[in-house]
Amino acid sequence: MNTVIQTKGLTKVFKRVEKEDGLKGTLKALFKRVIVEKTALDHFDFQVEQGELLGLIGPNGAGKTTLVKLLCGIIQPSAGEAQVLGFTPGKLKDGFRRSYAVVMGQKSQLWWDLPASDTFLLNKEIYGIPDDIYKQNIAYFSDIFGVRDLLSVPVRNLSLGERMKMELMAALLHNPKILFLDEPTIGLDAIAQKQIRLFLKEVNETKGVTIMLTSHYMEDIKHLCKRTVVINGGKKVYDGNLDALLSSFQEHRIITVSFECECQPQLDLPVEWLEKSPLKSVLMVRRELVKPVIQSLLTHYEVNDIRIEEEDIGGVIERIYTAGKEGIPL
Amino acid sequence: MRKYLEVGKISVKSQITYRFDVLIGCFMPFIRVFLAYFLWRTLFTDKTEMGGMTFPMMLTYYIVCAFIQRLEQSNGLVWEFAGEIREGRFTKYLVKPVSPLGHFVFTSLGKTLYHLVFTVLAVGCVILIFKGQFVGPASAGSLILALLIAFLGLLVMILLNYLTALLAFKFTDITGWHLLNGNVVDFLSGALLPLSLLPDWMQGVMRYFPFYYMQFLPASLYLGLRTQEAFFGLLVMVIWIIVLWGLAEFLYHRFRRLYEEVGA
Repeated sequence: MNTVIQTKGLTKVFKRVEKEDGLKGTLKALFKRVIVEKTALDHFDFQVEQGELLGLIGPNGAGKTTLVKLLCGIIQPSAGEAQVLGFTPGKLKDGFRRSYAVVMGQKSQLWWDLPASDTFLLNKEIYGIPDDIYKQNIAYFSDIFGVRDLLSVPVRNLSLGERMKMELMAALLHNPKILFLDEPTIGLDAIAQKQIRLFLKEVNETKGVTIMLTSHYMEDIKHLCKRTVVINGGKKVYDGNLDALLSSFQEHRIITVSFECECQPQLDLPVEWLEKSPLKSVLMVRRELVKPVIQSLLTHYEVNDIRIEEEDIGGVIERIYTAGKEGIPL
Repeated sequence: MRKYLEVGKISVKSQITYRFDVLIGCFMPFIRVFLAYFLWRTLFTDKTEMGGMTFPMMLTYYIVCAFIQRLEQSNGLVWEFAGEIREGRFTKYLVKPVSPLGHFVFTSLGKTLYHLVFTVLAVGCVILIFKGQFVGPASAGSLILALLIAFLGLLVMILLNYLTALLAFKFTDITGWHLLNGNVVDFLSGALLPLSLLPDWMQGVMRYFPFYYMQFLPASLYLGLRTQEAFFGLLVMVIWIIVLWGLAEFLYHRFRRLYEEVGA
């Protein structure tokens, strides 16, 4: 395996000017600046191997985007170091910039008033992409996305999902070795999200592009990434398989029971009733209580059907973040 | 080099969306020509010559200045560029193998090229209005020299505006500075009134600064005046371009480290 990204003690401290509210505070800030330091990334160590599809999750302000920006060389580290493809990102050498691409869901590189194909042409010249590779890539990407007839539509007339597909195309035309993605599916509907996911998987598998992805949508990470890094408060709190992490934090099961006849089920075990209607009940119990609860239900009531499900992923993630913040090892 | 030509091309292409605005904007600098017409007609009532210029020459001076001024498009680009720095959209220049200065210069020249079409149209209209009062170029040679120096002046202005935009890295908001800059340049370049009306010692000092050669000297050369200053002017401009270019690169590499890419 070939290590493409490596960080050692990578730290970023932002300085902010803090201002009291109101006119008085504003006037005060004009003469005396109160600078507050905020550590966005705190001694971050990790490495990524070639061809990996790595997920980066964490709550807002955890340091995900800061990490991506540092690895792209957009901002400079306050301490520590990063190596990406053997380059120091902050130096922004042309050779480095030719070998990666970054797509930020909130920011666009497309020319708003022009069709996406004009931006593609510009990138062709900027990256010096040979004609045949350019044509080949345009055909390849527009076929996977099914956007061939949208290439000549001005970007401002595209939908959000279509625009994101164009962003990804623009980023990948020069065959980058690493693709950084910051919230690529933000604001997209389920269909577009799924298409983008499939696309990323395809690009990762067939083109061997190393992908590092941050997302708020657990579905993205769950479907795409074998390895996940959880980051909170600028620190790495977990690095490994997402499924393993999720199952260790799955504390509850959801049990849905339907009854043969109307009844008012009562249990002397600690359960949380989510729904109680005459013929159906939904309850949440701790994992170790699933067996006694079901036994008790079966013995006391005329049960028609039982369904046991995993807890909603959102709650699990919340627990992971809280644990991370409190320094509990995951 | 090819990538910067493509940058210029995309700049022209994206301009085409704003045809109406460009057309209206092209008549803006010529409003000053009308003001100058009425002012100088009054001043010339009992004189035939002032500062070596007749009334038609004076009028032509303002038309040529307005023409040159209209072609200078980097002024508006400063707002765009500084906005990109302030709002964190500058990232697109950092992550691609492209120089922001090259980008700025060629986007600006692309705009100039596009505005040229409309500005020629506007100049044509103005010349028709002042038929008989407009003086043609003194000679082919003086026209070529005037165009060459005006083009170098354009480059200096682009570099100065790029430097102004770079200040946004450090000071975030540069509106006040940029407005002040614009007014000072208007005066120093002779767009407000011909510099030949200023005291000699002032003109002497100004010969070492680029502003003198942006509008005043090209317009004078066009009229066949001050031809002996042309070569010194070329030299001064080339030196200024080299100095400003170096300063721009130096400051960019220092300032980009201050960039924090807000808003994401």
